[in-house]
Amino acid sequence: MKLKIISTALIIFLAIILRGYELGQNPPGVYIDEATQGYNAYSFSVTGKDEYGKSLPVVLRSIGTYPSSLYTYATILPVKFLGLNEVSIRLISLLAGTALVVIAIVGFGSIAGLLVAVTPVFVYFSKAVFETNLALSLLIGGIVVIWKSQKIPKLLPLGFGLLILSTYAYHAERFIAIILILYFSQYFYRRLKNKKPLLIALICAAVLFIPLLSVSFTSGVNSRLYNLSYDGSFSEKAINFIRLYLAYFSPHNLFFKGDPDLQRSLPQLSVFYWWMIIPLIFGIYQLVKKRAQLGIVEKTLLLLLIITPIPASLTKDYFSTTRVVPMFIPMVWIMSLGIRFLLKNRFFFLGLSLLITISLLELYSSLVLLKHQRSSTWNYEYKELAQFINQNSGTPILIDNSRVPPLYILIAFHNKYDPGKFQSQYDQSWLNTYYEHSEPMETVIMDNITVRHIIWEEDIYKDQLIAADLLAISDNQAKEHNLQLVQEIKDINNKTSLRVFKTNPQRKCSSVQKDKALPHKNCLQYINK
Amino acid sequence: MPHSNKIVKILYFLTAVYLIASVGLTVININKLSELEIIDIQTKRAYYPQSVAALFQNKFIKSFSISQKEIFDYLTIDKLFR
Repeated sequence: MKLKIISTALIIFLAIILRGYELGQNPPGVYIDEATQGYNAYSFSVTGKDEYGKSLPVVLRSIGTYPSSLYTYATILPVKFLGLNEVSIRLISLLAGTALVVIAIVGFGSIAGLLVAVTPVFVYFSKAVFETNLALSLLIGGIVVIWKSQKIPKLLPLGFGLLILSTYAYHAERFIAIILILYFSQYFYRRLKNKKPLLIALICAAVLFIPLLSVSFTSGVNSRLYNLSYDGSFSEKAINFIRLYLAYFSPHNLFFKGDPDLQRSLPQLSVFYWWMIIPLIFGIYQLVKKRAQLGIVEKTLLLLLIITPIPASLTKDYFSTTRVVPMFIPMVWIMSLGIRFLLKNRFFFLGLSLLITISLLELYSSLVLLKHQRSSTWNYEYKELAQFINQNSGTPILIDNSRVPPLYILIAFHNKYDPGKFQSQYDQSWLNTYYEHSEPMETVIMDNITVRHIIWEEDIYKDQLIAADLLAISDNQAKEHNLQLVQEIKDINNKTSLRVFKTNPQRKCSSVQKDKALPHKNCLQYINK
Repeated sequence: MPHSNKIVKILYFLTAVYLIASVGLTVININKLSELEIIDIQTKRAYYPQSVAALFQNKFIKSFSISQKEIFDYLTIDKLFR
């Protein structure tokens, strides 16, 4: 018993260290999704409303993508007490990731808990704002509570409640949680003599789900679903579905390649470590061997494994791990069965210890690469740009957003821009149709700052600063349009990533005059002088 | 029981094949690293503390990664639908 307590404490400690190490610094910078969640939490803590002035939205409009809102609400307190920064916005993810390890220990045993503690996908999703990580902890927590309610039926409403709560944390859970509730309902209906706890649980779940259901069919909330869905004939869609569904079970993706999206994956690591395929195979064998004795726990996990990739396979994205993260829990559980079997041989205990040590070194190595190779993916340079803007608060500044359209939110996040100023731009009639605005915001004006793409025919004839990356303004363009370099903003490896130029409309106009070209309307003031 | 013992033996055999193939391909690939791959190792070393850089970025690790790619390329089950 004492050994079990010590090992549990050590696993939780390891989980906290891996997730909490450099929490605010790695991933470096802030991703757009993180900034929207964090800035809206800040907006709620200051004004009680989101950046558009909406009180208690069920899902946030955000940048027109309508992400789930629970993470933002959970982040209000950390932002209130720690201020708006990288640590405060990632704290809930860290807590959810650590809670998942505890839930895994309680639900599936210490070995599964250890695997969740060290597995790359779970560590990574706990180190940054991934709403799916919070949803996962609520979903798996709900499942474990429902299992426990076989002995204590009074826990059933809590379990159903957690499942429904997970639907407010991430969209994919809307499908998974409902299927699980239907599955558990029929199971407990047959099993319980007194149906009262089940009835209460179903009523609680229905009441909790009503707000989300009421907005689930609005055009804005579903816009992301339409944008992501695969275009083509029925047969093309069917083949695409099978291909994507199989991709989520492909050892190539699970143990070697990982998520192709740079923001959703760690460098040089996949979802699991390479060696984990061995316990997975032995675990599958254990499951097949005991197929006649599978109980509710095993059946639930297998159901979760099968249904989770379904919504993700209906999209056009290949192997999107954020959408299927619940399926990795049954996989970890199967691996733990395999390890338990292999540990009967004492030699394997040494092997497992060695492999976990090597894995931790691999994880460290990957985190170092994450910091240095993916700093631009995580918008590291925009923090320094925000500081530059702060220092030049009186000067008009145009920020080119060709590469990252909604980057205004990064500036608002880093400079703690007054949310009241954003809110004042939206009237009541706009708020009445809050869930129907999926249109992108092409131009955002924040006092002296304008965020949009450069319009060359206009912007070089205005006296202002222009901030852009190396692709947006080349050296030749700068020379041709008499742009004077004011500031170079470096990335984490000290390479220039952004540049700030000062326009020189007078010089530009005189060069146009020399070329005898038709002067721009803004040149007239200089010509008259 | 004898039937299950046979399956366990097959699984152990497959594990051994996987581990031996990983090590074998690593040894083979280590001498076949291209100039680009060696430059990549050198570039990445700059990101680590100097005292441990060679531990995390070296020819062996690069070669091991290539061997894993070669092995897992055979285990791409969605390949048929591409």
